[in-house]
Amino acid sequence: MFKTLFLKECKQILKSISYYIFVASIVLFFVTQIGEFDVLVKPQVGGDNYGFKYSDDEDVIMKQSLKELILEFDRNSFSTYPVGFYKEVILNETKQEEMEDILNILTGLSMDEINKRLSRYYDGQINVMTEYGYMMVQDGVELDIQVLESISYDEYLVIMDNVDKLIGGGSSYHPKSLKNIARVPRSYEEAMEDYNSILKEDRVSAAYARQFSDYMGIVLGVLPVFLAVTRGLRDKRALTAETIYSKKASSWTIVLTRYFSTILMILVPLLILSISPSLQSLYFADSIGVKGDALAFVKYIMGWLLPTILFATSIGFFFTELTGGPLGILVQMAWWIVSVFIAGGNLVGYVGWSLVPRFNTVGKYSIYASIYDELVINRMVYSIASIVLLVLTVYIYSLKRKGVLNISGKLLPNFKSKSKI
Amino acid sequence: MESYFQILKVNLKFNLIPHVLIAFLLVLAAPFIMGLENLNPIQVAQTLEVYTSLLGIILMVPLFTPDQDRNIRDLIKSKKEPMIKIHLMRIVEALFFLSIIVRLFLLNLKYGQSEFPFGKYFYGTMANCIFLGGLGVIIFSIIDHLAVSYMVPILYYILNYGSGEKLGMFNMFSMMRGSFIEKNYLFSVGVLFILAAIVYRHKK
Amino acid sequence: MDTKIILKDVNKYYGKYHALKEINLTIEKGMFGLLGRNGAGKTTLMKVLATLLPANSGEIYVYGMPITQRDKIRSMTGYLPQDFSMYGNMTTYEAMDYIGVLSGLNRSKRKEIIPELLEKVNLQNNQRTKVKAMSGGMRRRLGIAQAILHDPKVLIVDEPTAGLDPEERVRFRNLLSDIAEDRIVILSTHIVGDVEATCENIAIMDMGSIIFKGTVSELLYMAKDHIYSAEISRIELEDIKKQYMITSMLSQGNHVNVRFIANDDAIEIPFIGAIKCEPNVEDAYMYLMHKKEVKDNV
Repeated sequence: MFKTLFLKECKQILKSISYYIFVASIVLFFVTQIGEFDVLVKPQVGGDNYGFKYSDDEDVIMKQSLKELILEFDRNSFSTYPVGFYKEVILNETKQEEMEDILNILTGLSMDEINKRLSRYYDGQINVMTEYGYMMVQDGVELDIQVLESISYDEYLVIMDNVDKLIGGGSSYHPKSLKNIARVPRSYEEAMEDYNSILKEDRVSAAYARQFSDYMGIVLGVLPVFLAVTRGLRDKRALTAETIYSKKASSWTIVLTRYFSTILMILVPLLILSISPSLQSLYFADSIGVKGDALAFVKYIMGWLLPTILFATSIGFFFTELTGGPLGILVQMAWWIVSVFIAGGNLVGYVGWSLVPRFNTVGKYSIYASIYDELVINRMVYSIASIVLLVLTVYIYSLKRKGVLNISGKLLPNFKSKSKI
Repeated sequence: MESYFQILKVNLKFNLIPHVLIAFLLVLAAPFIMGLENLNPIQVAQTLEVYTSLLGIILMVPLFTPDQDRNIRDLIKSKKEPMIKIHLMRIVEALFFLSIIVRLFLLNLKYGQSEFPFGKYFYGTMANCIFLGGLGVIIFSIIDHLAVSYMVPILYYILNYGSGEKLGMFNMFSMMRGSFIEKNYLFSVGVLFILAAIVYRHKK
Repeated sequence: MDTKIILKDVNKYYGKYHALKEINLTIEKGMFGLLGRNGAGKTTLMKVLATLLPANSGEIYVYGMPITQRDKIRSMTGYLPQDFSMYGNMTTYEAMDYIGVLSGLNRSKRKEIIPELLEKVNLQNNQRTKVKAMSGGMRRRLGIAQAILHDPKVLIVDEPTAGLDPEERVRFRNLLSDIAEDRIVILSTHIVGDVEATCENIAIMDMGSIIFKGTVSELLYMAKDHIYSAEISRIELEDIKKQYMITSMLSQGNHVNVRFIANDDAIEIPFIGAIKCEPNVEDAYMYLMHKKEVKDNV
């Protein structure tokens, strides 16, 4: 029964206008956003820019984090991630004074001196036109402020912990995050290493699949809810709910066939869309002598995007069954907006609790490796939440079927009177 | 006068409340997901255009849902109060709440010492909201499908991310580049969408 | 095997509202009519029998099976809700096929039985008609076809004739009688004619209670000696209306032929010109409702 019903549900989806709008939307998004194929460039000996890496050198960490702290303090704008969500912190005057004291302890310099050296640094900056055609500021001279020699790394960590608390927590100065500030230019060898890891670990295609997942995740974080709500409301609109309630089919069969047919019908156009970038990445891999992973896109769609799809669909089904109205749309929209915004400016490697993890680049395998565990946990949590919501949906459906819940989702009065006793 | 009040009350109670609540929650959630203090005008514009614009979809799209059912619609049409009037009242009510919520958002920004021209930014944000909301409303008026009428404005919004410049005068993210002229286009076309939607609904 | 539906002391509350009061009923094979005003509790009772609502107390057995065995009950009952419809974009055949799958029928069975059923309800030429293009009567017939798709032992039909034109109504009653040959068909209605034409056994509900159960002739017998008819002038009509419960009237020029219920204690002829007559089901139903009202008011 399950299979036949599943196929019938798929056929129903094929007849619904919202499905075609959905397909048109993801195609349009794919075409406008992903567009042309970014070719990976092999680092050349004698090039002037090999990107960045994070340093383990304590001196480097201290130097870079102090510079970052002074620059953020000067702008009075601190990036923080207190609960995994990006938040900009601005210090009030008292806290600014406290911070001045800390800077004074760290550098042995007065604020006037710090400001003087800062303006020298700013004056030295030069504007460079990048290859993408926008202006970028580059350092001309180093910021000539150092941590006092007498302060050890351990003492520095303690002070930084205080800085983090002063800012309100979750800042880049928390001892655990400190290392991430210490970006240093990579050498040719290091750049080659990253390039090689893309060839070796990603087998090229996975690097492109990640970028694909990043873009498509944005639309898939919200669009599936519309299909789910459409399906959920169809019974109400067509007055079929009671007729179907009275049939032999179990609530599990009814709800699960609807759910999984929706999921399948979302995956199909997505998989089709991925064929073109997948082939391009395979050809490209071939051209540089690497055997690409033909299934990389499929793996990323299933591992990275599917939890997003499941969640948005579950929210749609759950709230539609619960309320008999389109509340799910509003809930998912709110969730989506928050998820898209919490990444802040961090578009490569932002995970946190966002429904749409970001990885807006091709390559950067080392960043991917560093967020991998977080990403797996995030995806698992969303998958589990989706399953829980789905089970609850079946439960609510079965309750309504038994007449314990009425159609509009409010508990029947008899239910209330029982609880009063 | 009483009938006006009654239309507004019924619409609020049976239709608008959850939408107002969600919009309000999104405003309350804003400080937790982004900085709202001491922003410069460009940052404020960014927040408003990228975040606050979406409130338009939330508050305006459900304009026709109470009488989506053909029978209810015919019934309402047969009554003395013209349906156009009811729909106009509803959209005015939605816009009223929208303007209050947007204003709250702006006041919150002002309170956090951010600098920006209040009136200009208010107009700009409302223009975005009205355009997105109007787009949803006209889609609903024509094809009578709730999900699709949410989907289209969301899609339009997403398109602004990558291809904002290609949208020309209908680029919703112009204020953050310091340009306001687009807002006039968005506002007028948004209003036009709403009026056309209501008139078409009436003729249908 | 037990071929009855037995209800024992069934109660159903909506909050404080007592929707079904101590219902005791035995329903046997054939057509069973459940008659009553709108709001009498018919739909609630039907939904309880179709397992769509739980009773708060009491026991119900369908062919010996307790109603709490929802899955088993569902596979032996067919239900046609009052406002039946199907997805508008499905054709007749697709709708039947969809319901067939939900009813657990395999492919070959569906292929075999759906055309038969469509023929039975006279929709064989409308297999490709979309549900949204159907008339009320067609939709109702589709409803019946879907309800008996899995050959249920019990068919529950809620207000099936409401909104049908007289011709369609007659056809529909006959269809139900055919179906009732080898199973229980429970039909709820507020239209007396539906019951009169087709049901041997009936129950009458009012305000959540069963106020009559038995055969049609038993119902008629109860009203015997209480129904009169008279030819009166239009001027007298208002007076008569005040004094008696009128069950039907027929205008003939300046005269009106009225049938009315005499008060219980009236043994003598109520007024000159009134003639005692044989009650029909309509009269008997009105008599019963009238009697109950008088009793309730005392």
